Amino acid sequence: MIMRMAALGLCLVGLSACGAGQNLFNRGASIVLNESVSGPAPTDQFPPRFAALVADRSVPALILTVESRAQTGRLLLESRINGVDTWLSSDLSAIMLEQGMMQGTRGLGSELFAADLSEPMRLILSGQTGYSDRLHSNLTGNDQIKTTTFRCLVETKGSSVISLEIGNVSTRVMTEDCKSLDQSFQNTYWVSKNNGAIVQARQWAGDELGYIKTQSATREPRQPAPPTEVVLAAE
Amino acid sequence: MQGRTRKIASVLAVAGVGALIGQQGFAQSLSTYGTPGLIEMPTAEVLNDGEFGFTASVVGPSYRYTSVFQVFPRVYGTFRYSIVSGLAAGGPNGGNLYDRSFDLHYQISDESGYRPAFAVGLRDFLGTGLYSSEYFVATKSFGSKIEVTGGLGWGRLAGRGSFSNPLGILSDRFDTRDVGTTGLGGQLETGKWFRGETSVFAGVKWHVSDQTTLFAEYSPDVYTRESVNTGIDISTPLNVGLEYRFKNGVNLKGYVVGGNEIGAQLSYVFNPAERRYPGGLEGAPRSVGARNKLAIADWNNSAKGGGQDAVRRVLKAGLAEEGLALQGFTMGDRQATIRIENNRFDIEAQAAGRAARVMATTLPPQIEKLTVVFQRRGVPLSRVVTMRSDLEELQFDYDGAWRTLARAKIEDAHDQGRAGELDDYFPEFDASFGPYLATSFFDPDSPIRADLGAQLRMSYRPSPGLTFSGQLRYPLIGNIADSDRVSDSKIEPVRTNAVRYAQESDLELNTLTAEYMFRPGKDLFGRVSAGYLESNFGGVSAEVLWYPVASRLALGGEINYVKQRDFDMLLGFQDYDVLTGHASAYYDFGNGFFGQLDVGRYLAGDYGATVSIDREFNNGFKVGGFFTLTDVPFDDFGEGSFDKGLKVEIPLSWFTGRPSRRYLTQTIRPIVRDGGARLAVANRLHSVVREYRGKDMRDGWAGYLR
Repeated sequence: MIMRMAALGLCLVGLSACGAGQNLFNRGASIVLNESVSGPAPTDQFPPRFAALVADRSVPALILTVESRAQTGRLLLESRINGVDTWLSSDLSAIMLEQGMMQGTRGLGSELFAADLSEPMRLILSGQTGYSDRLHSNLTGNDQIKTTTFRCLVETKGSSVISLEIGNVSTRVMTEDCKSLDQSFQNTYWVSKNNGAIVQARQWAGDELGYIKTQSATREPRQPAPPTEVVLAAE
Repeated sequence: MQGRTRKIASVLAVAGVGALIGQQGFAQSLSTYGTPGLIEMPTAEVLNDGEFGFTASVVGPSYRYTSVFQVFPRVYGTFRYSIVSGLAAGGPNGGNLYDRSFDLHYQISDESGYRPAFAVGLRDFLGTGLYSSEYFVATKSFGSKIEVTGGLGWGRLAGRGSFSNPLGILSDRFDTRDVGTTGLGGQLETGKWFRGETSVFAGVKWHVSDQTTLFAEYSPDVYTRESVNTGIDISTPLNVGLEYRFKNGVNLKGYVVGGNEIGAQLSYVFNPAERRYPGGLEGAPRSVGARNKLAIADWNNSAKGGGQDAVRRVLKAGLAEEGLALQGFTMGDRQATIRIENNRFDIEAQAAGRAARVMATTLPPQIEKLTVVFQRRGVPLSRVVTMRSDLEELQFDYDGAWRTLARAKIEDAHDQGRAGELDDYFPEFDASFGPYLATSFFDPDSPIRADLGAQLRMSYRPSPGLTFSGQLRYPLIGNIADSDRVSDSKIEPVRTNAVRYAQESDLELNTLTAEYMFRPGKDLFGRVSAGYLESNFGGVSAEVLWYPVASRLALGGEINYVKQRDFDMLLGFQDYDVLTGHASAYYDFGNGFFGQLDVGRYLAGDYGATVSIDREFNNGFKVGGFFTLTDVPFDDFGEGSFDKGLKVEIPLSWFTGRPSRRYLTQTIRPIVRDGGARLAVANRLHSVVREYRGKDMRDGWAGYLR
């Protein structure tokens, strides 16, 4: 009889949670287009909203890596409004970047609702060292907004030529060390010496998600140039 | 052998549940009674506020399945279902005892400096008293690894080395403890509390590592009742145990009780306020802005066939993508209004935000004021008014949730009318066919009974608010009808004939109703239902609800005339009819607690009141309790003395991270009797309306820009 109880309990939980939960583990920023080296992208397998971006060959792309999940995907730029770029994944999760700095995430499971980056951004883009504040709002598991203030030290860490799909780029490496009362992280930015834009970055997205790496990319995967010196900030 | 199979089965069940939920819980040890403690003894410890814990354990012949909930920071309650196999040899149910019991624990003070933590608790304070005992306990930690506990126990906790009650100094009445159960059980056993002989208990907990904890305790419990027939051997008061904590948060504990009884326990603690996927896994909302692009969109360009009809088509498709059904659309020079039914989002403010975004990414650029009217069953409930430029300005703001809330308006929608109603929306027809699972708990012969079968539901809505609907079920396999429980009620058997309904029916017509829902005026809601309202009763039901949009208080009244249905659950009726109804007050205390009071006449013709208190987490997870007292004397009510129970409601999204209107709900009554029984009419107004009123909308506003 207890067997029966046990089996029933499992069924109940299974019916409700198992089925839906199963493929969620593999979610996040999914791999897009990385396989299709030749020929037109099979747009019909995507949700219409993403397929529209795939169809428009002028839409820029971005490679995103969630380090803690060992997931890499190619995101497409859906909109640029108020200086915020919304990069969409094929599963309609998204990351918001402001001049290459992470302003928010959507649907990645650990929500950076929004961030105020105005102070560190000024230092990072202009290559200056100094202290600044940044604000993070997170959407908690209890569906409430929790805002945290971080005090950050921005520093220049020399130059580096990095190899990206868009070619080899000569960059200035900037780090940003941030602390709040109970959290700390170090972001790294590679700022192009040509146009002053952030072409690669490794940024913290919260306790659960950890670090996210973004890289400027081309629409079609390209054999990356032979790796040259890549400076990674010390952990 | 049988015992081992059982143990393995229960272990698997709990491990399965734990692995599925799979979150990191707080490292708290639960005793075999399901409360923070050592092996069997309690400690002066609590869980974190709001935490939930489950255990399954075996000690000799006793199997205990428990759930514990930290109701307040200092108070936890426990519900326990116990099976003692072979307790009464030759008795009913193969001599097994099935017992349901409740505990309550109050943390008097936390540990501070040199002073230990103090707590007082009642075990099994209203059941039949198998585990009836009380304690006063102190716990002190030494360093971060060692915790020492000592306490005084009464009742079952005074089985060994007992001495006369120190409380006897206060009054002679503490010297003797009542024996047996008051009446038919289920009452507060105040005649026992802290009375009779007293014993000392003590123990120590050693956190060897983050994963491993050792326990040793001195237990005065000698298992007096169990030792007669079950062969349990308690030869020493010393119990020892070892607990291992797995990475997924499940704890496995092994122990030796009384020197000879080897047992095991699984426990799992989690916090409902922590979703598995904070923020959810649903796709990103569309960014809004770029009005200049919209100005040249085909649907906004009259030269290309654009105009109101084209806009409506685009809106409808965009809303459908978000799981929102467009029912009406009007557009003026500067403002536009949509009427929608939300079929996807359990956080209604998120639906409001998504709807406003669809408008802002579709409508011509001069439209500034965006109004979203929420409807259910075609009836307008509330509307949310947002300025398009606010949405554009604040969508990426780190304080956008609060700022958009400050600028939005949440209003009553009683005056909405039917202007702009989509021609093809009514009549609306909906049907679903699928499996169902019906459960019946705590039958004395079998703790869980269940039926699995096929279910057909249909509804037809010719105009807003008017719905004809029905549900048919055909049980395929199950054992609810196998029960041999017959009603022994001393009052009208309005619920205790459940087994007869199951036995004498084949194809079940559960409901077949006509329902009209309407808005009699501002802040007012009305409902009239007629037909086969529920499985056991049919008739007419009318209800009115007063619920101002920004109010925490709602008041309602309901009156029903119903007749008992035939046991075959088809179209016929029996002779019993009754006029039943309630006046209800609903109040959101604002600190996560919600209360409801219903006063009136129940199905068996008894008069009384029901009190319900729910603890509600902001993410929709709810845990509640209720009781009903009526003029039916406890002796006539039967076992349990009065109606009471617990209720849990979990949004499906809590598990999956995907927005969904589905909830897993379970009401657990220790026993179902006929006193204090309410008609189970569908769509009581408060539950239909509440989530679209101001308080709930504001509570969910963090989801508005999500």
